Amino acid sequence: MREFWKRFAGLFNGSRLDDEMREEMRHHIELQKQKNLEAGMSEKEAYNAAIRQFGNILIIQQQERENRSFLWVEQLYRDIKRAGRSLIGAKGFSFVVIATLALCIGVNTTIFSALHDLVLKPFPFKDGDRLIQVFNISSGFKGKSSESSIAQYHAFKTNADLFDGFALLWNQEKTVDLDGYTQLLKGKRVSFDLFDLAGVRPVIGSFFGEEAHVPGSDQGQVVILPQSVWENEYNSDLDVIGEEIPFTDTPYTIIGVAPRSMEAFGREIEFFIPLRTSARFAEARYLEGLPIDMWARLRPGVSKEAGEAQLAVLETRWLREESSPRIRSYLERIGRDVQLGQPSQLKQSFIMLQVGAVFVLLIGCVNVVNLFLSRAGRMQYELSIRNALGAGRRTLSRLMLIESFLLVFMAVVAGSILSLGGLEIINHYLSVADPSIQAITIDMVVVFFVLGLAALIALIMGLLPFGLLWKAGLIQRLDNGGRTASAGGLARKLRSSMVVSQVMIALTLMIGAGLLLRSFVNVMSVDPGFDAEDVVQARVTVPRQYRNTVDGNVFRDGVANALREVPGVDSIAFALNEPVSESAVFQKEQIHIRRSPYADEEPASMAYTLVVSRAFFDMMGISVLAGRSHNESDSSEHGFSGFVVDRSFAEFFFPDGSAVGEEMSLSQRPKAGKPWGRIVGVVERASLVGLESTDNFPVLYKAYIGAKPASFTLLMKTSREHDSVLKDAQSKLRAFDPKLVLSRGKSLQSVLEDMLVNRRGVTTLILGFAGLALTLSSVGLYGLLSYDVQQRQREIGVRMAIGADGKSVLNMILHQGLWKAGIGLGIGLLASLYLTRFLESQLFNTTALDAGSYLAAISFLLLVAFVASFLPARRAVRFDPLESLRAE
Amino acid sequence: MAETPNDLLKGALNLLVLRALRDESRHGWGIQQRINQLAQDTLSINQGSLYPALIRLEKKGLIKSKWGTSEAGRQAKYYSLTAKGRRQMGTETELWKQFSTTVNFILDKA
Repeated sequence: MREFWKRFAGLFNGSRLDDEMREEMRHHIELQKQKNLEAGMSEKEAYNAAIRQFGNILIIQQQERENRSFLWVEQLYRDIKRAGRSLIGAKGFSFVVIATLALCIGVNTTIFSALHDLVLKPFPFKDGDRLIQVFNISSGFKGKSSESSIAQYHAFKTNADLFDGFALLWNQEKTVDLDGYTQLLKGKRVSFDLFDLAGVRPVIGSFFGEEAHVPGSDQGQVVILPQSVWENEYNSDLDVIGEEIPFTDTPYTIIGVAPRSMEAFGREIEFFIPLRTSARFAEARYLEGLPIDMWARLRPGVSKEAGEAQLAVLETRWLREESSPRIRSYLERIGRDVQLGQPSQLKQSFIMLQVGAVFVLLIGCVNVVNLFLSRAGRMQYELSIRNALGAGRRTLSRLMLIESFLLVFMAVVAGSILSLGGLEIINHYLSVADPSIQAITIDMVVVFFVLGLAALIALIMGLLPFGLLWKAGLIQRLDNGGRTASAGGLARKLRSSMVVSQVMIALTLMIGAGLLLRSFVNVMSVDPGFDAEDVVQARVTVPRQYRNTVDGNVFRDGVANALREVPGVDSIAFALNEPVSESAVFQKEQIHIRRSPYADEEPASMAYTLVVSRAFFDMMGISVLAGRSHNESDSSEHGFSGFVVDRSFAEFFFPDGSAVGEEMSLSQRPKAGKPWGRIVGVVERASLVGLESTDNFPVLYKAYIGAKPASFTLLMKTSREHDSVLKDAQSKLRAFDPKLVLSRGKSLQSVLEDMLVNRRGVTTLILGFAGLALTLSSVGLYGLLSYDVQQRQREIGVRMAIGADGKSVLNMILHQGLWKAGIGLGIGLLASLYLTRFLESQLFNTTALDAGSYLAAISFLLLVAFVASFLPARRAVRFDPLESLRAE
Repeated sequence: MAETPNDLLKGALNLLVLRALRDESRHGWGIQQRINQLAQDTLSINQGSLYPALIRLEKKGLIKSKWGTSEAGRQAKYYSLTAKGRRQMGTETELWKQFSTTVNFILDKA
């Protein structure tokens, strides 16, 4: 062991030891010279004899050095220095290789981090890969809704024996009154078994049990804090158990703290409270319309497909044997289906992006291999000389490998920096695209992935070109003049097929990008059915004193009057919730239509319900197709009496005639003696759930009259700049009451655009990849042809000397380039026909076989291939035949 | 580590160096002069082999070195025997004698 350290130290103070050695030798020679002098030699003779008698100093020194250190480390260091010098000598080559690889590695690392985080990584729980979400999909409306029902949850819990358990989560906003201000908190109502399902234990305190769900029990007003809230807001205070959170409706008692892993169910969770609903929700299967998420844990060894099949069987049996005819007809009509897993578009997008990124990497690697091949060709003379001087195959391949590892190492460093920047951008967009997703971080799996990838690339770059040269026997001969030697037919064939595959991959990417671009244009040109351009929205929280004492209408009139003083505001409307948002957060309610054949049964149809004030339709430019919009008489002490429905509601429920005047009610049949409500108007369908949503679920508008919620949405139409209007509105509201607070102010246009952030991001990235692929492959084609032309300089010279004119030489080279591109395009076309089907879920109003996109991609690529072939061809023609022959 | 007779041929120089250092510590040149003197100039040691031998022996821990001042007042590296080296010299001397007796016996017989 001591020996090791001595050698190790020898690595660093090698020069000092060398000095000592030299000193000792000099001493020896001096004494010898002294002796020689005494024997009668002259000064000079004595010195020379001493040196002669001593032998070769260098060899002794070398032996000494070999003895004291890890020779191979020193040798490696020397080799790296040599490779570094050689690469600095080839600046252009090194720069292009590093830049290409850094770009490819950076892109792949970024996308793979996201993919790993969002798709491949299981939940951060014990056996998290067995945790899975349960979805109800209604294909009839093309809607992807995730809501489940409490009755379905109970049925699955009892009957589905391939599962360890089920649990429910439901987004919940609560308000807290602090110093007279009202603050919004976001949290989740959850079923008691969620914590068990996740397999977590409380950090402190306890979780609640099943009794918390019993309606009316006093166990229900308990709250569990997420760990980060406990740490940040309560300073990790152990005495927090038993404290109360003064929610506006009723205070809740803190009973425990949930570990950080529970935040995987969504970011910005500020509390967990027991899910409690009135008894009728537990009975009315599917139809209560609460946007509840259901999660399940598969038993060990049970596949997702097997679990899904069991739930489908349970559903079918229930539908056949237990459901009422009315519910059956409704569910069959909307095509309800149970699915397991993550139908999130975002995750599919990242799989697609990863494929795109790998394609770019492949093209990039092909280019780099090409560069290495031509460099190996240029280095052939040097390698031959080294070979002649005794460097064997091993030594030479080591030299080449060290060069490639050095380059790849620098590319990894640069690529990592790029990917950190890339992740920053992705995280920024993720927070807009899907707030329930946690920010992405790089973890060890990704690091190993990148290092493995890099090592593989370096091995290929280092060994392949050298191996080809060696195999062709070009290094073992010194006699072929170096300059005109080529890496042999094998290398040429390899390079040609690489260029062909580049063109092929680039075409596939370009067609994919074309399809996505077309879809994006289609989405952007969708008419949303309303005019979002000049509308801004914000949430208003209502201070307690207004909720308790003042009529809701009077309060809102006061707010409206205050806001009318803001210059440039044309009209003002109110809505209970945000009227434009993802379908998943929309409230659904049961619809009961008196004239239907099942009028005596429980209601069995659903619609999105929105509560809006009268000015809403006018402000949004939603036209009234029949009847009228809301007025004062539409809400009474009996509840809502006049409803406005949209076109898809009217078409679904009243396909044969006008909906106006039809009697209906919400949630339940009217109690005996109470009147039915009436549909007073039909308005145009508005894409309130986003431009790209194909969700055609019926919408019903209730009149916003009387209610006294803790918060509501304010809408203002204005031609002024949105931020300054919001600022003016806030100050006018302060003047009205200093405790009125506006939050989440935004223009509707930006709300709509934020919903497209996923599509925009994916389209931009794939376009970027396609552009990169196009550039890299045209560089590849250009590089191959120019190298070829250079290699064949002599042949071209001879051809021209014996009478070939420039045109035929130009044609020859062009023909070669286009022929290769043509083969690539042909194979790429076939590959695209197959591969684009996987894009289908991302497409909008276009098919995977859209001829326009194919044609555009092919012709653009052909054009680029033509230019990339033309430039080297023109250079070939400009050779002076005599010049190129003389160069021999 | 016991050495087989085959190592002895290679080790002959090692043994001579150890012997030269038996009585006092010497620098490289001194060692060479001492061996020449003991051999009464019938044996001339090549310095090219002497210094590697010194390094080998030092690495094995049989001798140790120290910088000191020579009679001429110059800095020189002085080598001396370690305890291990002294023991090794004893066993190797025995081995060498045995070996040379065997070789002489064979040569005489032939």
